[in-house]
Amino acid sequence: MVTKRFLFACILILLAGLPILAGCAGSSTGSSSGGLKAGPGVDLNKKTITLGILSPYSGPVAGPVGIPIANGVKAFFYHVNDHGGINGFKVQFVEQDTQYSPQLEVQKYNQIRNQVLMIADSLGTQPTFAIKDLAAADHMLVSAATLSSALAREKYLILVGTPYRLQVENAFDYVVNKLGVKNPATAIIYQNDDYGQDGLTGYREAVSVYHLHDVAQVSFAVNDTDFTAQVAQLKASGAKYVFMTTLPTATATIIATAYKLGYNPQWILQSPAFSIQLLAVPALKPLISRAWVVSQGAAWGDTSVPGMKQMLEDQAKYFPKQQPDGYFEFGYAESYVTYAILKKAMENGDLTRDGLFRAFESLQSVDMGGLLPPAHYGSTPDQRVPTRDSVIYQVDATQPAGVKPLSSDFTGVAASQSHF
Amino acid sequence: MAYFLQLVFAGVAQGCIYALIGLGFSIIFKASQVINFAQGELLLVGTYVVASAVLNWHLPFLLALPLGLLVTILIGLLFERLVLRRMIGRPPFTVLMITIGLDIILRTLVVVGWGSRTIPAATPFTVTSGFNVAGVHLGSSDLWTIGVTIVLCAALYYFFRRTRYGLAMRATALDQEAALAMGIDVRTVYALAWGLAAAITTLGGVLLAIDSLAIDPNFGNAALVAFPAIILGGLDSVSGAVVGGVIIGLTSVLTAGYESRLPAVVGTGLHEVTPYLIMILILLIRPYGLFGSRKVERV
Repeated sequence: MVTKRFLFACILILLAGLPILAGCAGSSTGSSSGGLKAGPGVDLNKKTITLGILSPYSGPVAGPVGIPIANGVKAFFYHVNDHGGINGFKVQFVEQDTQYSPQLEVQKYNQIRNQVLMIADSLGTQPTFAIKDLAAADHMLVSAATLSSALAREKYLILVGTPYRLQVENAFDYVVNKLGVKNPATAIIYQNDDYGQDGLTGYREAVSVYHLHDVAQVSFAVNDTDFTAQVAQLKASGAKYVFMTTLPTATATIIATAYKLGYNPQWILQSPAFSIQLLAVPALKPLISRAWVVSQGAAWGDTSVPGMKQMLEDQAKYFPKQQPDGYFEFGYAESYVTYAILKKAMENGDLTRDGLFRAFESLQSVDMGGLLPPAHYGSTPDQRVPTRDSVIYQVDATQPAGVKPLSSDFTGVAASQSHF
Repeated sequence: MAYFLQLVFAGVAQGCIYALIGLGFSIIFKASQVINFAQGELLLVGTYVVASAVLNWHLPFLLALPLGLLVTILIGLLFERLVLRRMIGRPPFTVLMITIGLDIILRTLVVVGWGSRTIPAATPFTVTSGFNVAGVHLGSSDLWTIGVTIVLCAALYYFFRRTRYGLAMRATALDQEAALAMGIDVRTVYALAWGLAAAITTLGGVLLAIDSLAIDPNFGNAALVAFPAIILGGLDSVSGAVVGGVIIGLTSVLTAGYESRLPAVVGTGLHEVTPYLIMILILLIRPYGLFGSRKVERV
């Protein structure tokens, strides 16, 4: 006869044993061989390093952003593996579909946290923010595919590229200092979410630093389909330069609505506001061709930068169906940083998570083959902003990527002074 | 003044779009007491088909539009025939969950078939077509939207009042068992409701896409904005959907046009919540909406 007391004792024993079992599950931590310390995701016998990818592989964000970035990351490391790996270690991936949902991101992170050394790609501001505290608790470095400036405050998140906030500041540096327009009448139209708020923060800093004549700050909801009211406000304000922190579909409707209302300012697009697909909209093509885009890095196919030729070869070899795409390029460029961290940690003989973090902090500068300008890293939030420069592009349907540079790569006064 | 009138015109046009989408919800609810959560994705599929017909298959817009309507009508009819007909007599909650399933399936099909990227929408107008009156631009697409809504409302009024099937639909909505006893083919009524709702919603989507110029798989979310309109007008009222749509469209656009003049703490994003505030206010006074039927039960 099984008594209640016996059952209770069994449960207590099981509960007491759980931490031991959990320890066994993560038993790859802390092993070492030949002077190389290894953490989770490192198999010293098979000489493999497992990295995580948390990206939308389904849902609306998957096709245009998630899959191309993940392909870029994988293409980079497939090339590394085919050329001997990192000191003989091959890189492999555990990929999880987050569907761009913060809840799923947390769930998927928890599924793979004991299997991977670091996250080589986590797409999206909100999903990445959802795992930042978990990653910090696990001492897990996360390479985040987002340009949100708020990421710079998180010590285990790796930012690649110039944040949205600094893009806006550089755009108005171009207007005031490069074009010599004094006190221009300016406005911003932004979507009412984290992305939009980052653009708005940059705009307000630019207004202060460049003495812009700020005439309107107009917001819209992500689900809005009609922008007549917002555009009528911009028109009534008399803004000559309007910055757009938007996404491509809203960009199209806003510019078309403005044209309909007889309003034709200089539109300046935040990098995600533009998509080459917009040039396929016949009615929009002539309207958007006056617009500028603030971004950075080499245009697709620009083999004058050393990394482009290799990237194009790897794309043709590993992902032959991949179309020219800035997001693929971003994923590929992002991986230069991951590679540099792994390489440095390997040289230090410490492939644990703490070893990776120390390697990351000591990197100082990473060359990304010219695909993006060299990134600089340090230990303070200001030093974790890897680049502060931008290029102003003009929309141009005749170019492979739909844009041509108007300026060289530069860092404006406001962007160089901005604190995080 | 021109600024105000421009906003009013845009608000009415936007309201007409909500009205058309809302009509789809109302017709199905009126006939079968089901809230169809796949309405937005029916709109999405129809708009994508019309866009593809014009841009990829090079059909004239006036041929592409009926093709888009036909596809969504077929989806509506098939769904009714293969799934909903088996659910007659089941709890409304079960049917509602099935429509959510259809919503997810249709969106996935669009992503698989067309990809997730922004694609051009089909439009028969140039961006600037229309004319200016006293500083107000009356765009062709907006004028067409308002015109189509008026004509459609008149046609629906005639259909529900004067035609055999319209009367059958009203009778079924009132009392399904009594309608059956009177020899009304309830199954045909349901099929008709789904086909009609799919067509009207698609029409709303195509008109909305004309103004947007570009569409993506999130385009179906427009139906969510139409939802307060039908609740406000009364879920089972066709005229309520139209009046609710125009009220929501007007208040949303007018608030967006003037919110920047308010202190930032109140004004920022105010137009996003105004439709819901109005909906709550009206429901507090009239729990069945402006034109909804009040249920009377004998106790």
